[in-house]
Amino acid sequence: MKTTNTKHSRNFTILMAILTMLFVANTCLQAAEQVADSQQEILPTGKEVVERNIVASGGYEAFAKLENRTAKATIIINPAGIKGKITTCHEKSGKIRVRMNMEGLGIIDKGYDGQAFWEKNPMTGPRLVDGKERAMMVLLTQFNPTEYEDHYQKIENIGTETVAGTDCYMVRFTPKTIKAFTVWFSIESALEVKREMTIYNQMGELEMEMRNYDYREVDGIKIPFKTISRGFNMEEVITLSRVVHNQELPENRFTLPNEIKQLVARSEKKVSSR
Amino acid sequence: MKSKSSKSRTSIWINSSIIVLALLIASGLGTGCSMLRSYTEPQLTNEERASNLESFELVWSTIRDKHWDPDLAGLDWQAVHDQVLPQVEQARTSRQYDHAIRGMLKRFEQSHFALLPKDVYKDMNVSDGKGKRDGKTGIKVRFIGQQLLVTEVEKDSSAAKMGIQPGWEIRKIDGDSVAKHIRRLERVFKDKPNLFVLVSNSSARNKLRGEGGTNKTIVFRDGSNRTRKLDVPLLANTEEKYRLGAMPGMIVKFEARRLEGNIGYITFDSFMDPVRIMPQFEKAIKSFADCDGIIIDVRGNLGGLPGIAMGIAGWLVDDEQEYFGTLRTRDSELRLVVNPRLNVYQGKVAILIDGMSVSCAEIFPAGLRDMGRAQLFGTITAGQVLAATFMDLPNGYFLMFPFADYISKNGDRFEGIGVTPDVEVDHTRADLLSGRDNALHAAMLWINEETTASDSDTLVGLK
Repeated sequence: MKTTNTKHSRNFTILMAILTMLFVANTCLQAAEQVADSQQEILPTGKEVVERNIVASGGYEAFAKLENRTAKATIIINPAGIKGKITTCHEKSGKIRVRMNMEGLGIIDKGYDGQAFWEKNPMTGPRLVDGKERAMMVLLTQFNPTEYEDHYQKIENIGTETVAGTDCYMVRFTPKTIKAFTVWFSIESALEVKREMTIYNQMGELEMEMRNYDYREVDGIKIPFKTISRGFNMEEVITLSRVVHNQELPENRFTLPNEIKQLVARSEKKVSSR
Repeated sequence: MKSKSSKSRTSIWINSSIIVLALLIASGLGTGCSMLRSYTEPQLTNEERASNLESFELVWSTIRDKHWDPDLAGLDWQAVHDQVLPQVEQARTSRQYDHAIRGMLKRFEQSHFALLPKDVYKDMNVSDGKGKRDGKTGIKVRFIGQQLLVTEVEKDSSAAKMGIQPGWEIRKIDGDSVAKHIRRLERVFKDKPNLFVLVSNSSARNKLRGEGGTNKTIVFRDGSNRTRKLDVPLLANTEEKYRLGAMPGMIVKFEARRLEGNIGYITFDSFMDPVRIMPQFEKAIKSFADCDGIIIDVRGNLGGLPGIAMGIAGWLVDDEQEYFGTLRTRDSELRLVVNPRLNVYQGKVAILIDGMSVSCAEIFPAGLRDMGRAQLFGTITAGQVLAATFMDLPNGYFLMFPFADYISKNGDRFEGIGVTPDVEVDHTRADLLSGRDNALHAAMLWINEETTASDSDTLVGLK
């Protein structure tokens, strides 16, 4: 009897313990939800975080003064230890030219002349960029960060998270044609700390993580002088050595290389013959 | 939202092409290299042992995290660590250390694992022909059955000057019997015919190399069946070595010429050094524009950068929807696509393959065949088809390991299997002695659509 009572008591105790736990858990959940709700109430919107970032990065006036930016950087791809040098030139119209001189791989040229996104690679040859890769590049090559709104269906602040000791807002950007991506902005500095996004290229999609370091001010604009990107089991470290704004650019800076012009002509011919 | 920096976004743009194209599909490099063993017999210092331990942990954790198969081929990788760690800790010589690490990697029974001891790795990076493997006789060899036959003698080489001919059989190299060596390898690789072919031929090739300025003592059976013992000088290869990151330095050979019958012929020994190889390829393709066919010879090609295979295909395929196949890591899939060039060659394409066609040199012919663009002649390839990356280790060693699987467009895996030719044809001693390369001959016949009664054996399987 005693045993049964004990067993019964134990079972009851266990049941009570479980019920209590559930009750407590539920209460905790409710409390947590209330806390979350209250936090939700005080979380800035996604757009507000972006606006803070723009201000922290230099502000509308400073960005409006930029006509172009040229930069030089070094790159190393690990674990293979492949090194290279990069020069970029980016204009407020969105035109861009990037040249990467990679040891052992040669010179890779990429660009946008206002109409065609293109690439010339010593291995794979010249090509025009289209589809989702182009849509991604349209997004990423916009020169003035203050002109962002039209590119996204939604910009949402989805919460907070700590990244390498830095408390951040997580902002989810949903572009109109490609996958949504997330950017972590420091709550304190409002600068971008990390981003996770799908990178599109001719071979497919890669999930990449990018982290920014060593912000420095150039002409009133804060720029990360070091970026580490990880994906496909590799890591790229890009380190800026020089950033210059509003240089006088040669007229042909963004002119398409001959092979690219020929590809454009071929592409136009295909379209018109359909 | 552009946030702070178009610089960050440019970084993203850069990532998409460089990261992918920098990966390596070149097992042959590992196979050949990993055959080399040069051990410092002296006891390891405490510092060296600590560095070896650090490197072991790095190798183990890197493979745990980055090998393409999340199941790690069904291995209990932690248990492997716990078994190998004491061997590493107790290793008193480089040989013991190497044995422990290689044993760990061998458990996968996969290609594209390579570990180079630091002195070998360092030696391979020596320039100006002074490395211990930089001297060459000019003799190319293949095992045909049990016989090690000379298949080609490089022009102006020391072997050519001594009158050595294709078809001669090599019986001994520096006193080592070829027959004994091949019997031993047959026992070791009895259940792995592809690997047997690759290892036997790689070891023979390596045995014929050495330090420039020294000799190789080779016993031949010549074309008249006479035994001849010759001291063949090793000429130092002074060409600049190609370097890519941490990869050991290598010489990349390329040759293009016209053959009789209005046929273009291109051969190269690895899919590396794009800066030098691709312009040469372009020039060759353009010069062969009026040819009835082009033969691309990738026999003995060790593989390399998939970007080069994609690029070459661009001169042969005019459909931008075409692709070779898919690389798969744990969380990504990427296609090896074709970017058609402005002027695509439209004639016939024949590709020569053999058991020493490795990795990218297997993907390339198989892929072009799947696209309906090429016929393959020769013998089955090595079956070493994974994608690898590489790194140097804290103790000065070099590691290569596979981090992506490869599946062809048609859903085939070639790892451990190989690519079978459309027309199976191999060398024979008699044909080599008569100056005929059977696979090349078969390809030429196909291009010119010529057949005679005497060629009937060669044409078995010809479409």
